[in-house]
Amino acid sequence: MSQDSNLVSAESINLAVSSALSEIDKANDLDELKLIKLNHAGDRSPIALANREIGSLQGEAKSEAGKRIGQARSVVKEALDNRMVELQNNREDSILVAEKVDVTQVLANAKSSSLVVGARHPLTTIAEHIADVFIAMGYEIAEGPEAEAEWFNFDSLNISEDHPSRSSSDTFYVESLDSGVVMRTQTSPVQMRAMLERKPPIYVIAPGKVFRTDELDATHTPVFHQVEGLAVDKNLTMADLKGTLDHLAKTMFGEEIETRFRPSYFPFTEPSAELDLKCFVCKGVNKKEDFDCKTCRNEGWIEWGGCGMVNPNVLETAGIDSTRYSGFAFGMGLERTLMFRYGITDMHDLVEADIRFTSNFGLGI
Amino acid sequence: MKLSINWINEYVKFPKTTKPEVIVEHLVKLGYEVEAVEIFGNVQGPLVVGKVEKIEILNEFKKPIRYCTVNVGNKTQGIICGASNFKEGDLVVVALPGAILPGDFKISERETYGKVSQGMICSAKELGFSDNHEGIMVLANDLKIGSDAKNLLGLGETVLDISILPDRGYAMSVRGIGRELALSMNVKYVDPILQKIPKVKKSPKLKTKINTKDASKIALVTLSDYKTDSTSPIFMQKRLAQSGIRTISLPVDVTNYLMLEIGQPLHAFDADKISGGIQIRNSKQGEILETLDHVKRKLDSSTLVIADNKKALSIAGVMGGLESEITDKSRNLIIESAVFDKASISRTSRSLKLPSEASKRFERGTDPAVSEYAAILAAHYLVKYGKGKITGISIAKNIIKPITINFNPNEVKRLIGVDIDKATIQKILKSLNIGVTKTGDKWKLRTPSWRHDLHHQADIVEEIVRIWGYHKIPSRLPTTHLGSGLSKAQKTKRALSIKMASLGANEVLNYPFVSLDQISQLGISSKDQRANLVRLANPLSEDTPNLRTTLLPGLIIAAARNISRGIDNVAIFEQGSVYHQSTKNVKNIKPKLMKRPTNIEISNLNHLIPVQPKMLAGVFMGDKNQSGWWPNSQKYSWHDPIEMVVELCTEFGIEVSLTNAKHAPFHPGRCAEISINKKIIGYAGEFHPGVVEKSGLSGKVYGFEICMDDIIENAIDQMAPTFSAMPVVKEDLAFVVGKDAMALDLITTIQRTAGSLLESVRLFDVYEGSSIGQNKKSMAFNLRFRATDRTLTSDEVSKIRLQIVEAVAKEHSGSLRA
Ligand SMILES: [Zn+2]
Repeated sequence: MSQDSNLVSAESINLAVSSALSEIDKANDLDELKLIKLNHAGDRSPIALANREIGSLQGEAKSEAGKRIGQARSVVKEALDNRMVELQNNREDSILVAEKVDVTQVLANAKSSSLVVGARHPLTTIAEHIADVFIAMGYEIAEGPEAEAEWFNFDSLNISEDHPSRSSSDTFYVESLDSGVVMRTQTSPVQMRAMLERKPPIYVIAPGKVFRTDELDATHTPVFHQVEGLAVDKNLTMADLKGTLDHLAKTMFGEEIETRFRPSYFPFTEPSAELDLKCFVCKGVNKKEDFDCKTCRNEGWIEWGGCGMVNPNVLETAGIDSTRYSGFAFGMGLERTLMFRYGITDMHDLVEADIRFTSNFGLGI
Repeated sequence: MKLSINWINEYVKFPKTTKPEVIVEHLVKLGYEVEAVEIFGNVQGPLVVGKVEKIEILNEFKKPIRYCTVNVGNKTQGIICGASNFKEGDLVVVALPGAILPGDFKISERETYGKVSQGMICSAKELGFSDNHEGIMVLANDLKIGSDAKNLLGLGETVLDISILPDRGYAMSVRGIGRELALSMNVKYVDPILQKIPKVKKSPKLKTKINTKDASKIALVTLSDYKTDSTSPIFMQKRLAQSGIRTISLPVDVTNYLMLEIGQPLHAFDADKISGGIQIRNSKQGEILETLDHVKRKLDSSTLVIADNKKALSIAGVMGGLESEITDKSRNLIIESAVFDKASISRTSRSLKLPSEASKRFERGTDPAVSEYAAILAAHYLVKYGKGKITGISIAKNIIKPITINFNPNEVKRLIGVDIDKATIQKILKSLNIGVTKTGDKWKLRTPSWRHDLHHQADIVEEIVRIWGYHKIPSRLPTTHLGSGLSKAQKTKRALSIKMASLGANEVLNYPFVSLDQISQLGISSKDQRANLVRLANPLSEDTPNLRTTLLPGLIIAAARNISRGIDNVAIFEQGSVYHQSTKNVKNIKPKLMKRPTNIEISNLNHLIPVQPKMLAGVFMGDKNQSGWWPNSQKYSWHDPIEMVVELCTEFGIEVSLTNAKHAPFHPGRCAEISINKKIIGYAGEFHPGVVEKSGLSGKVYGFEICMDDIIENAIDQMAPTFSAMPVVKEDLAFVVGKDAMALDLITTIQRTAGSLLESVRLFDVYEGSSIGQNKKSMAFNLRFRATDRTLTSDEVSKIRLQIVEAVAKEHSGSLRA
């Protein structure tokens, strides 16, 4: 008998099986078991080698050896599989348990943890939200300079030489009072620029910084933000204006929001209107006795913005034939909108650059 | 403007039971905001007119106390009173036990000063009638004893505080607002100027004229033998008090009363202080007038004055003069009623900072048709409630051309989008006293004398819709218009902001106001263009009178504010304009209106204003990611802001180059100058320790500032990259080089030498130490080689490696680190 034929002997096979089973039994973890599997069930394991020898046997010896080896393999495989399951369960039960962490640690670190988190200013993002509503309606964003020619800020908008808003107690003048340059007091000069740069139909939205000589207090700031819209086309009417603003109100305050127009006065629009929102907190039915509504100061309505049909004088100054074209314009203050939309009670929060305020708003996209 | 509903109701005949909310709703619909609905003098319980029959003075106390026997109608009450401005026989207001005065002040019978006091004799202030607390309110003698004083004094009546839009001067009176309210409520309106008053003949003596283009009418009514010893009638006191106007004397009260009722401000002069005739003229340059407030004012020629033959008597429409003021001794009076140019009065009241109820009305335009009537009615009241005789009236006037407007009724549909039939339009116009002459759709409109706000068709459309009802304007959307979304610049600006926030920074929006001091504190020299500041003519604070040329001062101050509030780690950024002096020297120009300005005019306007590039800047200090129980916390370092800028540019496909630079406010050895295609776009790095110290900060502070416009201009759309699936060959090379060698220079040499097979090279370690040698450092690079078409052989790579080593040796005196 050759050495090799000994491999298939019952003793050899039994030995191989018993040593395999003993090692399998002793395996401490899945990695060890993997190695054991390689040694006792792999290509170079005693049983695999024995299996190769079967071919050289004849007759009964061959079939017996085949049967023996087959049984041995299945015994080892079964033992491996069982131990595998055992060890897997074991891992779930002990090792991973030992690796358990305290997930609440993450929240135990206030705002900052290992992740770097920044945020955009809510005034930036609310301006973008409003602009996006209009972009979806086919508008473009128009822009203009903040230090602006007095002609663009006042004269061209039908604001007379003597208008009180021009006084140096309202308007910042650049360099000297007769320089002809002001810090724009409204985003409306952008309207005039847009009309001079484009031909009708014109649909533009202009968010931006504006300036007035108010000291900073809880409700005023010398530098604030407006968003202003302008549409000039054939057949535009005040009904289109109402519909456009209703749409904006719905996207900002929900489908249920109710609006109203009431007569107002602005030099650059005629007819002019004020747009009010029915208070979305007390629903406008509030009586002070029941509940003190801070959002509408118990008035039931919130003044949101001014609007109207572009004054024909303004269209003519832009070189647009006011008998063929009509236009509407509207504007609202973003600080105010933010304040009543998000319950901000003090303007200081919007201007003091305290990162605890800003970081609350995230990327705001 | 405060008016009691009771006063309005005298001329607007709505039922007495109408609720204030209903009136408010109508006013709001008409375009008048009601700021407040107030209850005037909230007194409850018994308040009656009493007659002081007997006064017993109790002298045993600190001050004399009066024990009064007061007849309150059906009985007499004993009442203790501390005031002494009344006498036996006077009628006074008595709060009887059970009454509650404003401030929840309950009146009850009580023992005091050794007597039983059965009520209280009231002052105007205690009743909430006015803030006049100069003693007890003494009433006129013709009132019924025991009658209800609440009703008499209008206590408990509702007062509306109405705000009037600047173009609607005509509504600043009971007459003006009443007309529209009646229209809206659909009730009868009685014009207050239809009261019957005696005719006045032309004054024989007083001459008057208008010597200016800024006035169109003056009416003067003269009175002689005027005398009064009583206060104004109680109805007048009541209404003035309700309107928040103090009662002063009969003549002053009468003029104020008629101003509120009719809208015409009036002024009374002491005729004996006037020499010769009266004229309206422009002030002489430097003319001095002492006004009622005892201020001697130097006037300029744009100021209108009422003057006699010798001197200015008053500043027209703004304030009376002290010398011609009426006093208790005045016996001969002149009541002046005039019509001035709106703009002129507005200029004067603004430049003298003297806004008044009168100037507010003149600024918005008064009704020239009522000026005579108002002056006569005032004189009539003075005679009626005082004593005297009306002696005559003098009038001077310029012809006021009536305004006519050509109107096409189809404009209503064109501008509003609703069909209001022409009959309704005409009816509305008529209701507003606008005359209509029709030729088909060509209507000629004549506006009433009190409307100074109607000039164009659009103004008329507004009036029609206002009366028809703004609330009825339908809501619909314009037909869809095609847009192209955000421009490249707008997208880039948004993306930059989002990117900065994702990199951990918080956006701030600082005021653009700075000072030269703040700029110098950053170490910026006076020759730097950032020190050439644009100044405001009227800054809010002289501490920051200039406009920023850099975002950094604002950001550094904001960082310091955060630190002072106990925030240790600050990462902030701002996107915003800076302002540089215009490089073109152009004069202030004002293109003509009603036609398009020429392109040259537009370009001149653009050269007039400062150059305003948009910048992006950030300031960083402390932990980049906070240290804690987690691994890998990091502090901000000099390379962070530089890396951010590179990252921002890479986002838009822009390749930047960096060089070391000296640039305030940065650390001279730790500042990167950043350029795109050789154009400098900004700087980044660590701030100069001196700057940090002066800013009240401590430790290391980092930052950057770049021109956003340059990024926008160079931003390109990213195309899809190509990459090879062939295997990579990695090679690490460490060189010992001089201490001043620049990483980017070495990389340039490596890239050039290696050629196209070099996929990437990256600096992964910098080491200085004794093992390297003095003034030396080691820089280790990680190189990746790859061919697009084949697997590289090791021979190929080692050949390139050798070439690189030789090139670095030659160009940078670098040797391969052992
Ligand atoms: Zn509310």
